[in-house]
Amino acid sequence: MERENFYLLLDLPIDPPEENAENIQRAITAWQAKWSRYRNHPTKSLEAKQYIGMIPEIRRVMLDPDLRRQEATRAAKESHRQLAQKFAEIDRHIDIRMSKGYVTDEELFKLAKLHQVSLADVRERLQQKQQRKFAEIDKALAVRMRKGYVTEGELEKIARRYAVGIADIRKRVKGTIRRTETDSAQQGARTLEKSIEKLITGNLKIVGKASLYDFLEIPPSATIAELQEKTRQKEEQLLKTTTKDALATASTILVGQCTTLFKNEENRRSYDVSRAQSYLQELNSDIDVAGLDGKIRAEYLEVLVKRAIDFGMDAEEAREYIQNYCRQKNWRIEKPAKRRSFLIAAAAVFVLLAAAGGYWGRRYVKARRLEHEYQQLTVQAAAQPDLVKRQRLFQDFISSHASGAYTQKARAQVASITSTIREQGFRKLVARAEHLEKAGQIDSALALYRKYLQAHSRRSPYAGRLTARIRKLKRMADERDFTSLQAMIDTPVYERVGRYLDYLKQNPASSHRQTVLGMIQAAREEYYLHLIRDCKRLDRSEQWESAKSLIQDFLKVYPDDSRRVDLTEMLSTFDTKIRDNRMFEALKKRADQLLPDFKAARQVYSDYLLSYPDSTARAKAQAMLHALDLRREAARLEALRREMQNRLTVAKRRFAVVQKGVVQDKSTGLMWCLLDSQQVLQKASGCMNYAAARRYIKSLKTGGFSDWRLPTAAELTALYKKRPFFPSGDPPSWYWSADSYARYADGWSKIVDVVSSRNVQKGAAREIDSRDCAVVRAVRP
Amino acid sequence: MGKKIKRIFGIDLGTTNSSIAYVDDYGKAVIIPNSENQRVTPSVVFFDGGTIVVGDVAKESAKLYPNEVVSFVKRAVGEPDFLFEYDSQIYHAEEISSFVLRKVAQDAEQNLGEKVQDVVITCPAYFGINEREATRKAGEIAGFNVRQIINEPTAAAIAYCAEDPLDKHTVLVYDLGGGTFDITMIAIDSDTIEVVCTGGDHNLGGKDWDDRVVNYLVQEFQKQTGIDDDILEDPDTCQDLQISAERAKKILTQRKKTPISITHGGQRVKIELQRDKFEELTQDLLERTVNFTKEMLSAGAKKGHTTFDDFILVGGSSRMPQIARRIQQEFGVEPKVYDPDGVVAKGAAIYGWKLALNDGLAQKISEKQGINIADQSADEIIELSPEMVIKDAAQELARETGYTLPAVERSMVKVKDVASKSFGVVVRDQGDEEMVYNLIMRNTSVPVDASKTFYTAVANQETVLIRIMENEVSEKTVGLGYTMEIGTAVLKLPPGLPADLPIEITFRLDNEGRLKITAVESAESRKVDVTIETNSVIHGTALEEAMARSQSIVVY
Repeated sequence: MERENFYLLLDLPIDPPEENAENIQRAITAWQAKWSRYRNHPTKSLEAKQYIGMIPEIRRVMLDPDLRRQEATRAAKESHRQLAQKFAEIDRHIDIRMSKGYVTDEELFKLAKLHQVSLADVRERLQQKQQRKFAEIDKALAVRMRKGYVTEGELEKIARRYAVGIADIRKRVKGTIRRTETDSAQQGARTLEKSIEKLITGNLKIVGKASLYDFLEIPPSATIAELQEKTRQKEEQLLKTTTKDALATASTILVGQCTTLFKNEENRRSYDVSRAQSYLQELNSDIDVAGLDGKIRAEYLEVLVKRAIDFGMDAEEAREYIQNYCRQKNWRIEKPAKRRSFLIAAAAVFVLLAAAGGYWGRRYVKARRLEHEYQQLTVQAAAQPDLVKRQRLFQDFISSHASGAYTQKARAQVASITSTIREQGFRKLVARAEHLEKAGQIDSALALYRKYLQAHSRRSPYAGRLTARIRKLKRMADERDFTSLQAMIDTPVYERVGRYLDYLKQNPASSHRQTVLGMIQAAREEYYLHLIRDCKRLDRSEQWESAKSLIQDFLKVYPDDSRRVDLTEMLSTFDTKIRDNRMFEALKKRADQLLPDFKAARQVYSDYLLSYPDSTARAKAQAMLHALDLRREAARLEALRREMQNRLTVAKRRFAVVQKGVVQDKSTGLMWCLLDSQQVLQKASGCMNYAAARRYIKSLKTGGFSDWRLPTAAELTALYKKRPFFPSGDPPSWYWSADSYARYADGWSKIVDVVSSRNVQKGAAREIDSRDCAVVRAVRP
Repeated sequence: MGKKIKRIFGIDLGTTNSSIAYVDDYGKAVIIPNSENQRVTPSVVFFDGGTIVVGDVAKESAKLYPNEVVSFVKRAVGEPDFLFEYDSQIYHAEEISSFVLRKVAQDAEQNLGEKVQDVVITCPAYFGINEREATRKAGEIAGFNVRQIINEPTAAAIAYCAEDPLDKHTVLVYDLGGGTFDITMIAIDSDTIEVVCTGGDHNLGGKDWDDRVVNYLVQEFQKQTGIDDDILEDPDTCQDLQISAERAKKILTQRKKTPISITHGGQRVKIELQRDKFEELTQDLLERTVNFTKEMLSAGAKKGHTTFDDFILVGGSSRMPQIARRIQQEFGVEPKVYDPDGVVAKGAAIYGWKLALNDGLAQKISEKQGINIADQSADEIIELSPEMVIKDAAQELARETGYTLPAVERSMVKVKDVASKSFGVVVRDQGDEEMVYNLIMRNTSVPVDASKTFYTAVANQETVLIRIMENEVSEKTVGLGYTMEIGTAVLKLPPGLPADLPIEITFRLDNEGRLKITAVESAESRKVDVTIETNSVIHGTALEEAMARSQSIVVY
């Protein structure tokens, strides 16, 4: 059952939708108070309870901007739909008022008021209406069923009209079939007390069911004992339910009604009758419209009668129904104009006179004419070579004449022609089938026989012969299939076993059954090997669903396999993997959405790893983490590069970026790494000792070059101390040069020249111990 | 008359009517009439400007000021989203109930010249944990010391056998009140009153009978006037019809038919309601009570009580003649109508008196034995003492208080109740499906302890969340759909626990139907903190505000 739209429920503006959380909160509280007040209302209490129960959900949806927006969209759609529905009703009512040929402004005004729409809307409808024409659709059975039952008489009528067996129609009838109208609503049982009926309808609405039968999930044709049993079951089920929400309470009330109403046949009938009558509610509302001014015009009456006929009444019934209804409402039905009734009376007198005169004369003439007609027919038939057409001649005769001696003769003719046609048909069939058989198309031959057998029921005089032939053909087909099975030894094992199984299924009585079963068993090990191999492959490519279905197939073929346990375990492993992977995909989506906030994205994966340390997607998550780190690093370096490039623009006469991360000093021709080790490796290891600096240089691949080296002190000085300067870092750093010396002080040590990146024209190299730390700026060639 | 023991009053907080009782100086339970000299006070609250009016006046005002009057609030107790708004102030069901409690207590104080402090309040046996807690909260907001919440049928049984002490006897209590229906089987013996099993529906009561009549009246009005409007949309008419319906129902208990007149929108319609019609309209409601009774009887049979001796009718609605007739027809016994309006409050008062006497008795015994009374409950002290000591103490107490010795001795009767619902926790089965594992079964005697062992999932786990579920199924495991979450408990674990460590969780349902949870982790058998959280009962700031307001609001 679809829940109500909260915008509509809270009566909030939709166009444009109310977005102010405070207003919404206020509306919710106001409704909450209103519903609470209705909590003990004699008729609305359950509805109120239902709404009160919905409050947490209302809050959840309406106070969340995203959900609220969705709700608003739905509200717009829903209100549009409701309006459309209302207008359909207005259309119908305009029809009624239009039937006298014109509509007055006052009528339109009343209609507008009735439906609570603007007068202009009704006018517009009217306009549309006048342009349209009525389409008549025959819906006989459906319409009659709307009463809740059909009578035998009605069934017969329908059967005759559509030329089908009455039994076929009866099969289609889901409701009650009554022998005659006499035990139906009007003269029959008492109807249900109106207030009880309303109570039932109201509670059914809450549980979302159409009738008590629907509520018990049992067809209306069920016996009273079945109904009682169902009621008892339902009650038991309800007793177990703890949540006493509106749904449960309404169900409890309905069960109570079921207990009383299905106690005996009489009570049940009164429910059925009331139910049938409530179908007429729509009709009643139409009569109400016609009677808006306290009387029913004669023109309206005609339309109403037509409408009542649509509901399955005949004209007389309809008139009577409408009259009764109006009497209850104290409305007068106007008589049609005098002139018309005179005409009708005159016509009736004429018809009566004509009928009386004609009766006696007709009897004699009829007998003579029949004899003659039949003779002519036989002559005509004998001349007709086409059997079917000949048969039709007789049939036409039967249907166009009242039954008598001649129609009986005609019937005998029809029967004999039928059997001849059948005989011919059968012979033709056999000839064709044998031809096919000879051509090796056994299946087609079989299909031909089967189709014939199906079309002509088993009682056909040829059934015995046919079945024998079919049996023989089947044996042949079986033999053929078996030979082809044996020839399949080279086909892949899955397909082969599949074919074996198909064979067994199609030929359940095959004499080779045991052999084929043996073949299936023989294929087991091969199958298993393939299975394991494929599962591994599929596992690697993450196609676990396919792997699962492979295993399931295997287990279906070999349910008793000793490795079943292992395989089931594999199945559950795959399940876990699928589940984990699904979660991982969701994670990935979430993380991707968070980008370029690498930190937040990283958090997603690391949270996952922390909460599901055993997840099979662990490695993937770790890989994602690693990839994220790499991407973050790349992004950082890219930013740095851009920044350096920007800073270099002031000196673009001297420096040009020649390749990604490589800058050329046009004055010397040397190529420099745009980023130094400090920038690449950051604080932790960017400043390194000399040995590490040499290793760093060796491993450097920037710009695709592998011949990076440490610059000489002179080169570094030229870079930083000659205008325009290569920008210094902030603060400036010391850079290793390639100039190193060995020196003795408290033992041998290595001394290296370092140059500061401070952009001043003076300043020379300094010497530091190779174990101290400095930054590397690589140069080539 | 010597020393007085502390008076504990019994209050029947009903859907339509409430009443208060006490045990007089002769050991007899008496209903205390209200200031309008009625034995019962309508549970109707009228918000009249700055004051709050409860009772007959409020009920009368409903016709004139339908939007300022709240009735039947008991039906909404335990519903977290029910609220009543008056003068932009929000009131929860508990607070509205507290006004009713204050009114009956206030009138009793006036009548007796004695302060009402300690009370025993009754609730339907069928109430779940949250509804009970809400009832207790209502008492606390009203400023009482709520000694205990007891079940209405139990109270009825206590009053019934206090009047006429019986040996071994099984009684069915059919309690049809204004809003709720309870059916209870109680086994009475000379020294115990034991509830065997109980069942019912807390949405089935006299009000439903009234509503059927209201619907019928609306229908008749529409038929006679040809007006199709929903006349119940008009709050005045709605109130009027409800009052007329209730009156008609009462008249029909005595007479065969009653005239009713409806006035709405300037139209006046007269309707004659026949008793037959009334019974036809409400037949299914009666059938439901019969079905509950059958169900309860079969539950009783499972516990070995295949027959019963008395069938007593309690609650104002059981006066309708068709009820006794239907019971006679179905169960072949003549039910006794036994003071339908007062019996529950009386029973509660007797129970309160028993609590007070027990306190006195325990005091006496502890003086004699030299036990520190603070260490044990009164019940435990009496339970553990030798019979001679108790007898002596009882004699002494009788002498001091002026009650007869048999009365004092009778107060030692044990009252055993049962759990009206099953309680369990959400667990996962092998297929990883959520389901509920019941620790305490419906209809087991209370107090009861039940334990289940849980395991920590990971090392260093800090909390375990337990979802506590209430249900009506007497089986070990139940599908989640049949149960209702009444709260959650959070276990705060000490740090440094390994994974897979067993933690034993114990549910204890005490004789008031309150649930307590304790947990012990097995590594060092440390106690683990458990807090139960529920949203269904007034709590937090709403409770504090209500308490504070209660001080300043005057109830008439």
